[in-house]
Amino acid sequence: MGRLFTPMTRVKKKFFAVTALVVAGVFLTLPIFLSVTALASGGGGSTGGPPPEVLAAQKAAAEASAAEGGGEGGEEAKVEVGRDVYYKIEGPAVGMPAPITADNETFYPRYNFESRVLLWVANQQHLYYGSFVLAVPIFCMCIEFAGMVSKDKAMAKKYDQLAYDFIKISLTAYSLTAILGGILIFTFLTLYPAFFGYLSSIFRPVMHIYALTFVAESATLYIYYYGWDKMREGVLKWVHLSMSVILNVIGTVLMFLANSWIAFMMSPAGVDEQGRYLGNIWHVLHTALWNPLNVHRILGNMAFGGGVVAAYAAYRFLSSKTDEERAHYDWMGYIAMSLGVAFLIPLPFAGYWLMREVYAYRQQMGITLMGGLLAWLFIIQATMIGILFLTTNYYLWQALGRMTGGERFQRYIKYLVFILVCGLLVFITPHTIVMTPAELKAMGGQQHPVLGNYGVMSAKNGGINAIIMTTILSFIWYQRGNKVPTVSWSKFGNIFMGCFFVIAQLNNISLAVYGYFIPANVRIGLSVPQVAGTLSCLLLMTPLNLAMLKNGRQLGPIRWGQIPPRSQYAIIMLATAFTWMMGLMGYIRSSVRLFWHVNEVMRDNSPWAYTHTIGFAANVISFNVLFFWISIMFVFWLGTLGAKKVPVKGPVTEPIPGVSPQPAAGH
Amino acid sequence: MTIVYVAVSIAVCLAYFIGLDYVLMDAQGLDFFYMFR
Repeated sequence: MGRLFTPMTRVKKKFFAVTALVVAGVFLTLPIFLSVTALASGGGGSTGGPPPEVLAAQKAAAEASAAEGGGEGGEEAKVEVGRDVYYKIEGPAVGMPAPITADNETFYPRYNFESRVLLWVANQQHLYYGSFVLAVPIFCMCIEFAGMVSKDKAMAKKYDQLAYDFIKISLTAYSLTAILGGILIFTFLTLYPAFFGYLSSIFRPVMHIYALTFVAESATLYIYYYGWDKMREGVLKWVHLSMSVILNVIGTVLMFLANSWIAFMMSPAGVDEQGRYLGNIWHVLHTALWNPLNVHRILGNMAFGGGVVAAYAAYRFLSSKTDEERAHYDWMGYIAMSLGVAFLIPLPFAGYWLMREVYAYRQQMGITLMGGLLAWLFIIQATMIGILFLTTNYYLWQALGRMTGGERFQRYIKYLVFILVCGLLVFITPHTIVMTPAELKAMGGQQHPVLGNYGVMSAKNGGINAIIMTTILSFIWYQRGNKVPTVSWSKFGNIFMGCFFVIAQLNNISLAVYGYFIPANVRIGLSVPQVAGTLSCLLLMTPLNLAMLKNGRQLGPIRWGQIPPRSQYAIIMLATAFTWMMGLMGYIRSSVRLFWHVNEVMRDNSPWAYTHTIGFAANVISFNVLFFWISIMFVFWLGTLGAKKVPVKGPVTEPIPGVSPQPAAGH
Repeated sequence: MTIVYVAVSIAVCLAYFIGLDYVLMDAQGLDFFYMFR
């Protein structure tokens, strides 16, 4: 196509492309810039603050008070000052107090069903789809970029096709996200009008930004998707890639805004103890838990999105009719799963940060979560995390089977299994369990004399870090699957890597044991070096491995598509476990507020202001997971109805003629 | 030569991890060698 243009035309085209991008960027981010003035002024004035009728009522009340008091005393009564519940600074109480609700139809209109469960399902479904459509464009951006910088043209085309496949899936899901968002709003308005009214009065300055950024996101997404073929080459391709950057910036702003609402409900700020808005919207947004939630959710969304796309690829792999299709979807599943796992590895650390901030904000809240009412849910969460890592490792070991030379590592896998199982068993050991008096007597106390020692954080930190380090090692082995390093220092490099992993594990276990002998205030700090040790394995050993493998000798091609079907079921299990865990953690995070709509500010007086039993919660979570997967299967099916693009033929690896997929031997 | 490589690797890794543990505990205002003092 490039040859059709003269140099002059090309310059013009470049100019127009860049101009178009700038204009599109400005227009699409305009809502944010326009709202900056409102944010800067603390959300007051015509663009923010409490509703006009509230202001009018306040003004009338102030005037009435002034008339009663008369003279100078009345002037003082006009501006009431409130003290921020979190920032502890004073500000004008410009908002209405949080409504004091009662258990009646006025505050809590209802059907003949538990309103909280209805809202729970609506919220969870919206969150699932929202997470998916926010994560997938980030993958697209990375993959499209990888394709553009790739020197291998066949690979570049394959990456481009892959990015296109990804965005195609997310497009239908995007419509569903919007529909579910609408259902969620209606559920709030119908079942919790007083609470929703209060929340929207507090967030009024940013509510319209949220709506407008949603419009901007939709516009960008449609241009990005439908412009794929038109902007295929040259500078236009860079413009296209830049669109994905804009898309992701907008998506991230959207998510941060939504996070600010839940963070406010858990750890309110910017309001006084009566819940009156104090005129500074930044304080309302920037609560104690906002940033930890932001980081945790970004990572969680990416891991979840990777899992869902990988499951899509697995589904297509299993239903493929040709080797070519199977090879394409095997590769797609591998890329998606790798991206997902790349974000899964730091996810527990973000979780630790969030929990630390929860403890710092309200110690009692942390105890309710991890040592009290909700502690058993954390045991379930630990089990799910263990399943995620075990499944990831299992997939990687299966994937070694499609590489010539991968069999070198098979005999060592049993040692990794041993470490993983030990780490998992420690990680899921509860501190105490509910027992009958007879059981209690038989065991000799609330804690088991041996296993009870593993039910504390010191041991659990050691367990999860051991699991993550082992997963990193599996990934490094996978990278080496069909390659042998040829650098002159390869022997030293191999020995160094081996020593590094062994000493990292020993250091991790030593710190875990050391934790038993020192006071709690010192022990809590040990989690930081434990995390740093694990991250060192990831951030130092992976580049070292890549440096060693540079220009390495290939033992043979990667036989894409020739992987046992059970590996694909492992991927589907991975994605399902992600979904279940997201549902569980969302429930835990939300139910830690106990009987508060907004913690310590607005009380929940509905008949459902209690904590459900674990069994009931697990059933609702399972229903949500099932509903999501049935609906996403529908989305996948819709994706297959469109014009079918034949997977691009590219010599990622030379297929081995006559070799069909066979189950791998061993494990 | 292998023994030298192993010795050097162990020395470097031990120094790295003990240093890392000490520095990160110190950064939190905590004493890593609490039990040994």
